[in-house]
Amino acid sequence: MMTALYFRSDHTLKKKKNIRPIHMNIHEFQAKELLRRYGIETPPGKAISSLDEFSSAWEDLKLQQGVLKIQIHAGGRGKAGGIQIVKSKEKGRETVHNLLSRRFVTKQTSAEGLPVRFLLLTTVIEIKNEYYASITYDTLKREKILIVSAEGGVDIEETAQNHPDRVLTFSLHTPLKPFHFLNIFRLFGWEGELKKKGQSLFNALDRAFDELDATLIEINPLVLTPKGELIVLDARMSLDDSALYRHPEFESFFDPTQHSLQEVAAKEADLAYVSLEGSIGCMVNGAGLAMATLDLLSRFGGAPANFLDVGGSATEEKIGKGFEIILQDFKVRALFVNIFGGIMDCAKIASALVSVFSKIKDTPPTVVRMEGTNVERAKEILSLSSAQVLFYDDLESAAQKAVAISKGG
Amino acid sequence: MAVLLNQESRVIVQGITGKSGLFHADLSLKYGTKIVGGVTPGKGGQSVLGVPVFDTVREAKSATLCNVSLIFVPPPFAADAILEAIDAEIELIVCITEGIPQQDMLGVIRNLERSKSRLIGPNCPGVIVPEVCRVGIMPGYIHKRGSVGVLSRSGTLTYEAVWQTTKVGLGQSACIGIGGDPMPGSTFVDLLPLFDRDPETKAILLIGEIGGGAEELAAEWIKKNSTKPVVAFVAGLLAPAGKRMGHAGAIISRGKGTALEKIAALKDAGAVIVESPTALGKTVKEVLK
Repeated sequence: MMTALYFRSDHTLKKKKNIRPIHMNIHEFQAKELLRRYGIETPPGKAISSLDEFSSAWEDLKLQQGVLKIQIHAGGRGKAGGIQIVKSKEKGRETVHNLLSRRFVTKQTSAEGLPVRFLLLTTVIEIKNEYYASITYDTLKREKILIVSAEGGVDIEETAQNHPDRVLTFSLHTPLKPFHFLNIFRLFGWEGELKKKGQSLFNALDRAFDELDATLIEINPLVLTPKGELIVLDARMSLDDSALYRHPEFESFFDPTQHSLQEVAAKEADLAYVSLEGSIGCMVNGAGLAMATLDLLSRFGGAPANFLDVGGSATEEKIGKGFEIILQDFKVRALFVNIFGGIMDCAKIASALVSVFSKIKDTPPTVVRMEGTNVERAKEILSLSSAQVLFYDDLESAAQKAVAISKGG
Repeated sequence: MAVLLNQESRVIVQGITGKSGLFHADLSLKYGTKIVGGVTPGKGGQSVLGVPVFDTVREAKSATLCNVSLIFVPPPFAADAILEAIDAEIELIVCITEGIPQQDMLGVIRNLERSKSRLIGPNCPGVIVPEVCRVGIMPGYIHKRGSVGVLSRSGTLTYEAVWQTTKVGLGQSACIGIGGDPMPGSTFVDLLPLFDRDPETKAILLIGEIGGGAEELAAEWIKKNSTKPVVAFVAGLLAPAGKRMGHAGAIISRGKGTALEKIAALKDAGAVIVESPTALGKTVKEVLK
């Protein structure tokens, strides 16, 4: 039997993320709440956000000892000290006090880290074996897949790389079939009663994935206890942003503390926005052009303050909101507008800019480059207004100018 | 047939009575596209822009002999609209709609695999053969009939590429935006052979971006098969490193997905890499010298 206490070996791989917003990440306790609806067993636990809530949760769960886990939208929690075992209620109060009042930097967060709004308090689970299981889309093959390994809890990515035979991947074109279970249970070494439990667990995971419109359900680890129970010790889940209209109740899972102020405002305005570290505020239409614009500014030695894709069909009001969000960022020393009108009407962008600038006193030096639908009208609107903007037809000169201004030139 | 579209293409618009559908159907008509009808359930029998509206795609097809459908249906109904077009055996389906749930798209893709249809999109700017046929939302005037085949995952960045190839005097044989969704109906490798076979296309301009592995697969295809010069740009070198959920993604995509990995694969395949998004047109011109 392995140690009775559970310490997660956390994983360190950091990757570029796809900037197109397609997932809504949720907290571990929220994922577990969703999984329980499908009859999947998780350790008894409660999410808490204050000392009072901790005390009553401790009593409700009748704990002698417990595990406190910070809830942030990033991995690497264990190594950063975000998962603590507490042996008494008093120790627990102390730990809650320490964890709730700070930001956590892990290998998967930015340098500022993420604030802890919730802790998950759970019972301590005895562990006999740990497994890994996930369901997600393989977007390249364009199919739903199940990944399992008998080596959960350790670094699964390393296992997949160095011992590919220890990780099984299945395409799920159908519901899970007897041959799937045969393969999984041989890998896991499961027999008898355990097979029955395993079958309903995997069926439930698959059903949850579809019914919740998830894009990822990851159980790591799934544990087998000495008593023969299968328990989901840790779970991550991402939900399909595009399917949220089918699940209005998921709106309550959104945790604004896990995003910058600008990102929250952008979400409310339904704009794709990501905060960056630099000083050039960027308003662009289209994710590809927005990314290329960031690349171009950095080529010329500039540093963008944000990624913003205003989209094709934004109203003038929504565009205005976008400008306001960019300008709220105190780091912004120059504004760069790069629009290639397709569905987007350049004149709408120009009007929104003029209207926002008329309401703000200290507008930053602004470089506008536009081409496409209604660009002549846009130029007219800008030239007739009192807004001070430098207009360029040429992307290269425009970007160079924006970089020069951001550096005080 | 040129690439995907020609003078004979007969186009219907699903969602023609909606705001975007109507606006772009009008622009396409003015561009010279043979828009022969529209489909909006419940509005059959009406007429807009001088073309008849039908309740179903099957009705539209038997009345107009259309072989192309352009879809502007809102996300909750868009997957169904694509399935309807597949059912009616429309040869080319171009879906503009952004925000179709991934689960719905998976159903569409399973149906596409055993169908007579090709799907471009969703979440894409569409397809255009300059000065002949516009099936999409791109600004018409930036295009010019010519020799560059433009194939892109992006929308507005495609316009940038098109505009630059127009300004350097090359023009385009056809431009296809495959769309920015994680699971598009067609990917680079499905479409590269069409440009490779097309006599008007002298060079292919491929515009990729971070995420997924479509560019890496394109690189493999180019290395083995391409008979024409390929110029490539990949957006997202500076895309912010962010928090990532879980390991499943990394297990699947190991060695693929970042801009640098994509650029390396394309370079290895013999593609000419464009480093600045302002040098797209210039680079193709040099390659064709």
